[in-house]
Amino acid sequence: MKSVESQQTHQGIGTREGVERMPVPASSLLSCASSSQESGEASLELVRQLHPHIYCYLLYLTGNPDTAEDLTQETFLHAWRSLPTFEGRAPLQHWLVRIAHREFLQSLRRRRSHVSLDQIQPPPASQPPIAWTDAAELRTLIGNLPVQEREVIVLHYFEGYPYEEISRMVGAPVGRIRHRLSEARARLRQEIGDGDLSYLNRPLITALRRWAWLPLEDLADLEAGLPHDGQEAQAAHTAPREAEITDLRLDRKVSLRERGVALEALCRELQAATGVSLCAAPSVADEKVTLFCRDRSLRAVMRAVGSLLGFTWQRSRTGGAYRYELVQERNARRLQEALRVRDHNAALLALDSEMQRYRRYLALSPEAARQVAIGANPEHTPFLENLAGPGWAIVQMYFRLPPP
Amino acid sequence: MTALHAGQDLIFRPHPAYGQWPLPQEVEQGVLPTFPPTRPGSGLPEAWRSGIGKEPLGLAAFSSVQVSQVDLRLTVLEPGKVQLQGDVIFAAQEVGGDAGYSRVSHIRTQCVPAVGVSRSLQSFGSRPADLGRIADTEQRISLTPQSCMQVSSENQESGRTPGVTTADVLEALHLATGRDILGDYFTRFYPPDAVTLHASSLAEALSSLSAAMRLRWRYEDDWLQFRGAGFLHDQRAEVPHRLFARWAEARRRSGKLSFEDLVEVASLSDAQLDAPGIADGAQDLYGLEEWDLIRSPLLRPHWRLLGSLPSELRGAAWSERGLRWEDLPVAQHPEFLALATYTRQRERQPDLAFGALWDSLSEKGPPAFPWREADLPGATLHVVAVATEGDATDVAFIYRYGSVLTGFWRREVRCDGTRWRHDALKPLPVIARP
Repeated sequence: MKSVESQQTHQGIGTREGVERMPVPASSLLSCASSSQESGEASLELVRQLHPHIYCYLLYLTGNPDTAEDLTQETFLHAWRSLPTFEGRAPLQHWLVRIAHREFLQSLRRRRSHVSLDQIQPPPASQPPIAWTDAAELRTLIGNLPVQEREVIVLHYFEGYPYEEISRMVGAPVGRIRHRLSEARARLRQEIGDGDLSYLNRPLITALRRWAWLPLEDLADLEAGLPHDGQEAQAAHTAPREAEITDLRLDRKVSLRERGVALEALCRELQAATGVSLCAAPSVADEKVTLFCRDRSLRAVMRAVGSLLGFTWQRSRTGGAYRYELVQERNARRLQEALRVRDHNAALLALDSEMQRYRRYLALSPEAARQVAIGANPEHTPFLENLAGPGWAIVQMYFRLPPP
Repeated sequence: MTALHAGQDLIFRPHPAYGQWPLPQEVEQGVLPTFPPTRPGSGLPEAWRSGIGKEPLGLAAFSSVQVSQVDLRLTVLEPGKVQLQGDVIFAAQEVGGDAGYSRVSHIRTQCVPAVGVSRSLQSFGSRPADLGRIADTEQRISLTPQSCMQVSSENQESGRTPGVTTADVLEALHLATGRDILGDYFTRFYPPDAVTLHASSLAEALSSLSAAMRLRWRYEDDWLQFRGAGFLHDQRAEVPHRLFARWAEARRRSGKLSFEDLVEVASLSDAQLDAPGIADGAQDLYGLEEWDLIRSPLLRPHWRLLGSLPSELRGAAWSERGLRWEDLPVAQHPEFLALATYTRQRERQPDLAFGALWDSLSEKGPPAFPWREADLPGATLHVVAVATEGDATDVAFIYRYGSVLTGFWRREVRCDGTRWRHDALKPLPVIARP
C-alpha cells in the first residue's frame, strides 16, 4: 500500500500541485450578477466551475452524497442571493467554502439542537462508493477522521488552500489548522500504513526525532559529526521496499497497565496479547517504562515507545511471519555519549570560572582571610571562609596546577 | 589539571611516592596554622569515633604536627554539574600518646549550576504546542497517588510516609483523566504531598507534577508522554529489574541473600550503588535489606575483591581456614594488601606494581603499620557474618597474618550500614557459612 501523498498524486486529486487552478475572478461574477441579461449564463458558469469543489468538500464533511448534494445546492443558492454583498476581497471560491462551512454547521444544528464538531461521530464505514474518484479506500479512511480534521485535509490537500485561507474559511487560528492537519496526517499514516517501519520509527530526520526531548539547536551538528554505520546505511537501502510493507497484525488492539516494566517484559506481554513476535535488543532490554492505555493498536504502542526512548524498531523475517526488534542504533549511543562528554566539559569550564573568584584572595594567608571575611561583602564570604581554614591549601594547589 | 579533569585524584605530599606529587613547602607551612586542635581522628564522623576519644585538645597537647597530605578531586554530581573537593591530612603526635592522623575535608565549591543539555533539561514542562493541545480541556482532576512500597516496621515506628514513584503518580493520572500515558521509569521516590493535587486543570496538574518529579512531558499521538529530566544520568544508575527480581526471590526463599548474591550485588557499578533512590528501592520495593551492607563505600572494595576471584576461592573466604595469601592469584595481591592495610581506595594506584605498593605502604604508611613482607605467606582473609540484633546481619572482613593462635595483630573493618568500627576486635562468633 502506498503513502497518502503518493496515492493522492496518482489520483490527481491530492497534492496542492495536483489541483492548481485559476481562481474564479470575483469581478467577472459580480459583473454577471449585475447584468440581468447574462445572469442566467453567469450563474450556470459559476455552478459549473465551482460545484465539484464545493460538493467534494461537503461530501467529505457529511459522508453522504445526498446530503452533500443538498447542501451544495443550499450553498450556491445562498451565495447567489448574497452575491451583491460580496466585496471581492478574497477569491470567490473561498467565500463559497465559508458559506458551505456555515451550511454544514446549520444542517448539524437542525439535526441536533446542541452539537459541536467534536461530538460528531465518523460516518459508518459502509458508505456507498463515490463516483468522482475510485480511491474508495482513501475516502473511507478520510471519512473516519474527526470532522475538523477531515475538513482541513480536504481543503488543504484536495482543494489546495493554504493554511491562512483555511483559517479564515473555518474561523480557527492558523496554528490550530496546522495542528489539525498534522493530527490528520498522523492518523492517515497510521491507518494506511505508509510502510510499518516508516510509521513506527517516524519518517522525520531520525537523529532529531531521537532527541525530541532535548534542546535541538546543536544536535544536528553533533549528529552530522558522527560517522554513519553500515547498519543504518543498509536500512536506508532497503527503505523503499520496506515502505510498501504493511503488517496488518499491528492493527491488533491492546490495553495495558504496566508500572516500571522492562522493555523485554513489555515485548513479551505484547507478543502474548497479539501473537506478533516482538523483542528488545539486549542493550535496551532493561530500560523501564510505565504505560497505561486502552484499546490502542499495537502499531501505536510500538511507535510511542520507540519515540519516547529514541529507539528504533527493526523488522526481519525468516520464513514465517515478521519479527520486530527494538534497538538503539549505534549513532544514537554515540550521540548520547557525546552529549555527556560535552556537558562534562562545559561543567569543567563553569567550575573553573567559579574558582577564578578565589584568585583575588590568593595572596592572603588563612589568618588574613579570616580577618577580611569579617564585614566582607556577603557574596564573598563563602570564599573567604574556605580560605580561612584548610581549604586554603586546596585552593593554592588548584591554582598551581598546569593548565590543560 | 588534565589529570584532575580526567577524574584522577591528585595527591600532594611533602615526600611523594609513586603516582603522587610534591607538596610545595610554602603551602605545607601556610596551612599548618589551620590544624584543628582536636584529637587525631576528628575528621571521622561522630558515629565512627567510638573509643577514639572525643575531647578537644589544645595544640599544646601535641608534640608535633605536620601536613601529611593534600588531595584534590572532582566529584560529578550529575551530568553538567561538578564540584571540587579536597582534603588536608595532618599527622600529629599526642604528648604521651599515640600518633594519629586528622583528615580535614574542606572546600566544596559552590554547586556550579548545570550546563548544556543538563541545564536545558531542568526547564521542566512541555513544548508550547503541547500545552495548547490540552489547554482547552475543562477537566479538573484530583490526584492522591498511593505508594506501592512496603511499609517497613522501621517506617511505621518513625511515622515516615513511604514515597511514591513516577509509576504510582502516572497510574493515578491515568485513572483521573482516562488518557493514555507513557513514561520512562527510574527508581526514585517522591514525597506524596508533592504530587497530591486537588481540582487542578490538566495543564496545572502536568506543570506541577513535572516540577515535583523533574519530568518533561509532551502530548503526541493522543499519548501523554513523560521523560525524566535527568535520564542521561539516571540510565547509568538504574539497576535492571530482572536482577532485583532474582535477588528478591532468593531472599524470599532463604530469608537472606546468599554470599554469592552479596558478591554479585557488589559488582554493580558505583553509579548504581551510590544512587540513593536505588538503595531505597532495593530495600523498600524489593526487600533487600542487606543493600546498605554492600553499598557501604568501606565494604564495597572488599566485596569486589572477592567478586574478582573464582568461586572456590570465594568460598574459602567464608571457611574456617580463610582465603590464604598463597592461594590468591598474583593479580589480586596488591588489592589484598591495600585492603588489609586499609589504604584508601582513592589512594590506590591501579597500575602500581606490588613491590612499589609495598614500599609505599611500609615507608609512608601509618607509623603503627606492623606488616612485614616476609609474613605475607601466612596472611588470610576471612569473611564472617555475625548476627547482631534481631535479623540484622553484620559482615566482617578480617585480614590476618601470622598465626591466629599467637594472637598477632589483625585488622577488621566492620559495618552494618549504620555503625562502623575500625579497631582490633576479639574473635567474632561465626554463625553463618555456606
